[in-house]
Amino acid sequence: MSRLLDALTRNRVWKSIVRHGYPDTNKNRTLLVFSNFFLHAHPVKARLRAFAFSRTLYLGGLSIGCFALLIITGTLLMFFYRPAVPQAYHDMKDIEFVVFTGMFQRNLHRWAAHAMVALVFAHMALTFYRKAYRPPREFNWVIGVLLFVGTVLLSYTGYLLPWDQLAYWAVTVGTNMAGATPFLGDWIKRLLLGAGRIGESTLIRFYVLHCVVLPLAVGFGIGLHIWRIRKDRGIYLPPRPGSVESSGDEPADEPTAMTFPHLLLREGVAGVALTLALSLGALLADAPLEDIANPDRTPNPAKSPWYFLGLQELLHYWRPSISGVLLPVLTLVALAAIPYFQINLDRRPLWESPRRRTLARLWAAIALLTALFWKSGAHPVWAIMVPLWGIGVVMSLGAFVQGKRGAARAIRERSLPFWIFTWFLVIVVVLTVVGTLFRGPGWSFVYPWRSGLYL
Amino acid sequence: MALVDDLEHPPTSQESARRRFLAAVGGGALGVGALGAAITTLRFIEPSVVYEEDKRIAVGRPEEIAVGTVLVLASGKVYLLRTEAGFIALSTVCTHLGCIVRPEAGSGGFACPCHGSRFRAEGTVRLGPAVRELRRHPISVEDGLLIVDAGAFTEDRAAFTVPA
Ligand code: HEM
Ligand code: FES
Repeated sequence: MSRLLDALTRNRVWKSIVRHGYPDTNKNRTLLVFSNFFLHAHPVKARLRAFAFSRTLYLGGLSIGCFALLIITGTLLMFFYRPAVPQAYHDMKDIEFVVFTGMFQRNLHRWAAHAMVALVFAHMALTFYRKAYRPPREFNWVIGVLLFVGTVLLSYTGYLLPWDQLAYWAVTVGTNMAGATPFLGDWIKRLLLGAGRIGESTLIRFYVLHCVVLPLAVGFGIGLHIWRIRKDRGIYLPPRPGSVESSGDEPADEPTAMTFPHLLLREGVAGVALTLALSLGALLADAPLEDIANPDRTPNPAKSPWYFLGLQELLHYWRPSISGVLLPVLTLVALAAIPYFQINLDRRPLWESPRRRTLARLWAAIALLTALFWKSGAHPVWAIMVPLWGIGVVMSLGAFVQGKRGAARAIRERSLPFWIFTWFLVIVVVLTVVGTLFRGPGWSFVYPWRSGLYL
Repeated sequence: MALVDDLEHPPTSQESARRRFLAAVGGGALGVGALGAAITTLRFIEPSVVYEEDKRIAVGRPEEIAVGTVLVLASGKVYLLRTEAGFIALSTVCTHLGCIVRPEAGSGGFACPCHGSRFRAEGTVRLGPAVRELRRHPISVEDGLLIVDAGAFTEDRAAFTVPA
């Protein structure tokens, strides 16, 4: 066996390819990372603290893993899929029932897409809480926001391709929403549809966006994102107790370790775990495929995929130009602006200021927002008000609890932006859960334990 | 070709001005060209011809449709009502974001499966998020037959009566 390996690696051809010796010396391990195109995004050595799973949960890395799986399975699906009406739908059926392991490939593609949306969002939330967007990483956070948009758009354009009922109505609602944009609405809508209404011209547009434009854009964006992390000397690590923070070189006493084998091993394990988990999911659960698109009949209820149900729930309250255009755009702009206003970085804990006055202001603001969310829409927006009150109560505890450690200390030491961001996250989760579990036919409120699930 | 290092041999101020002028002209030309290319590309992507089929429906003789009748046309996309005042052809395309509303048991009106708008039987909004009432199709009579044009909409709120 080792003779065979020797024979394989001890010749001019092999050496012309890898150009370094067997990685059993530090020099060769250095060369392995340094001279390999696919590994050169890594430094040869990295700070030990950056390896810890608990620091990033590898959420960004797992997002890349999903993206890679999506490129592979997506390319395979393209061998059988024709973006035409009605062939598209029949091709999906073929992929499911005729093509060898077609069902598995389709499932894997679908579940990896869902996982990627969740992972990217979680990555953003964790990056906020880690305060890793602090200078010089501001712009990489903005690139991240764009990557999030790209990820969501990839999912959305992918949804039309099966040409089933879900696809058709999700895109009807989505393009009409884009059509509610002030001034440009009609033009954007026509650009997306390629016609007056959804049809074959829309399908081919979404196909090109989904298979060429967006993957290239997101792939390029990921490259840029990673390149900038490398130029910023790796991911952000908080200053160690006792050492001064420096944005440049890390202090000399920062322990490091070789990328090969330590970091590559960890990435490899994460990648294999992700692939196994998603493959298992693809074996156990089939991606839904509803009836063929029928422009004359909307399913009741017509539900988008879970990561859009928060938005769909939002559309229940305000007119599309607000719920579908203004609020999402404002949210994205606010997210992108976070690092430029030093938000949550140097702010003092909320309860450092005079306690009485802070409490009064806090609850005045909550009352004001409550009135706003009660009155402004077609229905009172409980999904925003209840989290508001909940967070308000938890925040207020900070004025009273005493403890020096644990939860008490955590509550007392958080700043206002921390709470606002948390409120935002809770709203996203609550809107999504309400839209997913608590909405039935005619988008009426239902209790899932009484009337079952409408998915 | 001899290359002159502009750091070692700084240009005279007259030469600098000349270069700035040329740079401005050149950059401007590139900018205009890029803008033109961008506009042309967008215009390329924008559909030039939009295919519309004839969607007129011949319903039948108006005098044979009794007052109080509701006819479901175009696979459910059009509800033709004959009220005391005359004919109304309601489009069931929701005015919120375009889903097809369905008759709602109990209220006699319509409910939308997508975001829960509710409409009354004649199409006015009972509950949001929709703000506009259901649209109406133009109705006419040709050769004694009642024609509903499901491909067009009318702002006319008056019910259609057959001209004597
Ligand atoms: C396609 C989507 C994305 C991919 C593939 C991706 C990938 C990564 C990876 C691999 C890292 C290294 C550390 C880690 O795993 O956490 C990272 C760091 C980072 N990401 Fe992302 N990311 C994506 C989206 C986002 C989003 C939505 C944001 C925020 C709005 C963001 C902001 C950042 C920032 C600021 C860093 C630097 C963190 C640090 O220096 O500690 N990224 N990203
Ligand atoms: S499309 Fe009818 S309520 Fe939104």
